[in-house]
Parts: sequence; C-alpha cells; structure tokens
Amino acid sequence: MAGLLENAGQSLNNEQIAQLKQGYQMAMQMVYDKRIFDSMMQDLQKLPPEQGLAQAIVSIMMKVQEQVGQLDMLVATSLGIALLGDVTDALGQIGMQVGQEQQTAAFEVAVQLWLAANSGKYNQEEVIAAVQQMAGSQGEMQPEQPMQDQAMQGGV
Amino acid sequence: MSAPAIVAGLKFIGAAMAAKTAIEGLKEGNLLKAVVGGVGAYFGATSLMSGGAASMAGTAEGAVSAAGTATGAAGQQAIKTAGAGLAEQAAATSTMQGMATGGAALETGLSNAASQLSGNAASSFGAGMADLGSFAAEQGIASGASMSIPSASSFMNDGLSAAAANGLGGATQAGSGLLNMGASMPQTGYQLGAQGSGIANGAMGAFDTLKGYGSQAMQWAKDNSMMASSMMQMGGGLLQGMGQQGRFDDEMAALEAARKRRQLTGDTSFLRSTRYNPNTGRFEQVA
Repeated sequence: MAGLLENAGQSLNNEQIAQLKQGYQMAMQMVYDKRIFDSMMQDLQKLPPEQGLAQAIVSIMMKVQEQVGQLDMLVATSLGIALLGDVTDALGQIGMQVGQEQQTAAFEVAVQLWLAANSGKYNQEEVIAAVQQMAGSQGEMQPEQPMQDQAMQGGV
Repeated sequence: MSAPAIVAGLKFIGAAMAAKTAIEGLKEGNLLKAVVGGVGAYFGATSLMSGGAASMAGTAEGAVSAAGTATGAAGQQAIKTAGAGLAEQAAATSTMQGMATGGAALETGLSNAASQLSGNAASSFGAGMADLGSFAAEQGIASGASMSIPSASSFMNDGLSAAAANGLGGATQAGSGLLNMGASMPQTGYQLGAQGSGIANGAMGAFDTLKGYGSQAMQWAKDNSMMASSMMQMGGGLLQGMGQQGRFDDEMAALEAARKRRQLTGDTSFLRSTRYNPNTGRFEQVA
C-alpha cells in the first residue's frame, strides 16, 4: 500500500506535498479529536459501512480543502488513501468493522463523492492524468505480480 | 520533479503510513481499481445525466487516452474485463431490444463495440465501468448509495411512465433507452458512429424522453445540497450497472427498500459545527 502512495508522492511538487502534509495533519486532528470523533461516529453508525467510511473520508477532505485550498486530484487521492486506514480504524473502535473488500468499495464511493462534491472544479484531463500517474506507478512497481491476479483475489 | 521534492514526498508518505496501517491488507490493484472505477462511474454518470453524446465522446476519448497507462498483464486483464462486461451488456440489451423495433441494429452496434474494445486497450476505465453492475450488487454500493435512490428510482419510473404514455412500447423500450444511453458512450468514443446510426427510432424516442429527465436531474442537483448532488451522480452509476438486465427488477426493489430504511443518512453536522482556528492549529466547536 505504501508503494501506491509512495509513487504518487514522487509525482508531487513541493507545493503539493506541503498541501498534502498540512491536509493530513488537519485530517488527523478531526479523526482523533474526541468531540469531533464522537459526533462523527454518531452520524456514521446510521450508515452502511461502505457509505459511512466513504462519507467520512470525503467530509473530512472537504473540511481540509476549505482550509488549504483546492486540492488537485492526485493530492486528493493520496490524502483519501492515507485517511482510509485511520477512519476504518476509528469505525472499528465503535464496533463498526469494515472488511477489506468493503474498504475498497468504500473508496470507490469516496472517489465518486469527491468528484461530485467538487463538480466543475476538475476537468477530465486532470483526473485522468492523476489516474495515469497512479496506474503508471503501479505497472512499474509490480512487474512480476500482474494486477489481474490481485483483482481476481480481491473479488471486487 | 526535483530531488528535494521527492525526498519531502517520501517523508510525508512515511509519516502517513506510520499513522495507521489498517489498510495494509488491501491489495494495491484493488485500491487503484477503486479509484479508476469511481472516476469512470462519476464521469459516466455525468454524461448520462446530461444526455450529451458529445460529452460521452469526451469520456470515451479520455478512456482511450488512459489506455496508454495500462501496462503488461494488468492492461490485458482490463481489456478482457471491459470486453466481457460490454459483451454481457450487449447480450442483455439484445434481449430487451427484442421487443422493440430496430433492436437488432443496436445489438450489432454493441457487439461491435465490445469487439472493438477487446481489440483496443479499454484500460482500467473500461473495466471499472463494465464491472459497476455486479460490483454494486456484490459490494453493497447499490445499497450504499441510499440517498441517490429516490432520484434514481423516480427518474426511472418517470421514464417508464413517459415511454408508455407516448406509445413507445412501454417499459421495455424505456429500459432499452437507458441501455442505449450507456451503450452510446463506447460507440461514440470508439468512433462507431456507423453502428450507432442503426439505433431504432423507437429507442431513440425513449432516449430523448430520458434526456429530458436527465436535464431535470441536473437541475435538481444544482438546486440541492452537495450531498444530494453527489448521490445523484452515484445514482447515474447505478443506472449503468443496471444494464445487466437480469438483475434489474431485483435491484429496483432492493433500492426502494433500502431507500426507506435509510432516509436518515448524510448527516455531516459534525463538520458544520467545527471551525479551524489557525492560532491554535486545531478544529474547535462553533458555539
């Protein structure tokens, strides 16, 4: 997992990295602030795990974006991935277990939510470029382990 | 990218990964697929809602350009998945179109589209789009998109009713119209306009009707909150997934049931009740 982020991180310039770092720090404050955490968990218990996880990630990222400015797609995706584990863990603390397949499903929902919430702010070329960067790094990263095997095993 | 930037990036990534590694069990291929699937579903849904063939073409062209990123076996698998998914959709469309005039033309178009996609790298975009139906059903995305359900089902129902009222052959043709909307994207994107022209007049009528509802849907999205809008897009993704007709009725029933169960969703008040204080560097509750 670190590899995907690591390769994405290598595509970022200094400004983007600073934005990502600041955003991540803010996001962690929200996830681990007790009052915010309690309020967030109260809300998320009403939702199915996939939707709750996706909504939590996107909601936090929207709040981060308010503070650090427009996140470009690669930064947003990296931040979302970085948050996935923390929010999943937080949900687990209230007995809302989210399996690996559900996490994957949730992240797909989160991507859609994020794009919809930022409707008009990203053009397709920018989004595709971000995916290309991540997909490209994937191909370079694991030449000996074809992705089809992973996809089949994951059952998504 | 400069060396310092790379170093800084690696430092951040290290810090992020050290925080929590609950996701370490996830396979990167799956996570990347989720990204691609989400992007593909979003832009596909946007195109469907606007009913614009031009934007569909843009999406498909984007998919083609993204195809360049598919490498080695991963790319091959994406192609296979996309081809198989579209072939399945073509078969489902063919069944539905059997009751509509000109169904054979669309079947041919879709079959050709699937064939061409198999021959051309459809990349992960194609895979994400093609999987969406089964993915939604199996992974709970369908039920997860609970806020989209009123919109999705109501527009679907409206479309069916309108089709019947207009003498277009009823629900089957309206359903075909929906499939046509999805089908036209790969057709346009892969320059299969010749096959696309074979779409029957009846089906095009349903298509036009649904385009109208698509416009209304977009207006609805603009008039409502961010979450409502986002769920609207997810509803569009569901419509694509429902191209696999075998699950259509069951899906609709399940969506309606889920909608009733989950009307109290989308509460993000915890975010509205906090504000970032740059002096303390923390989020604080707003009085």
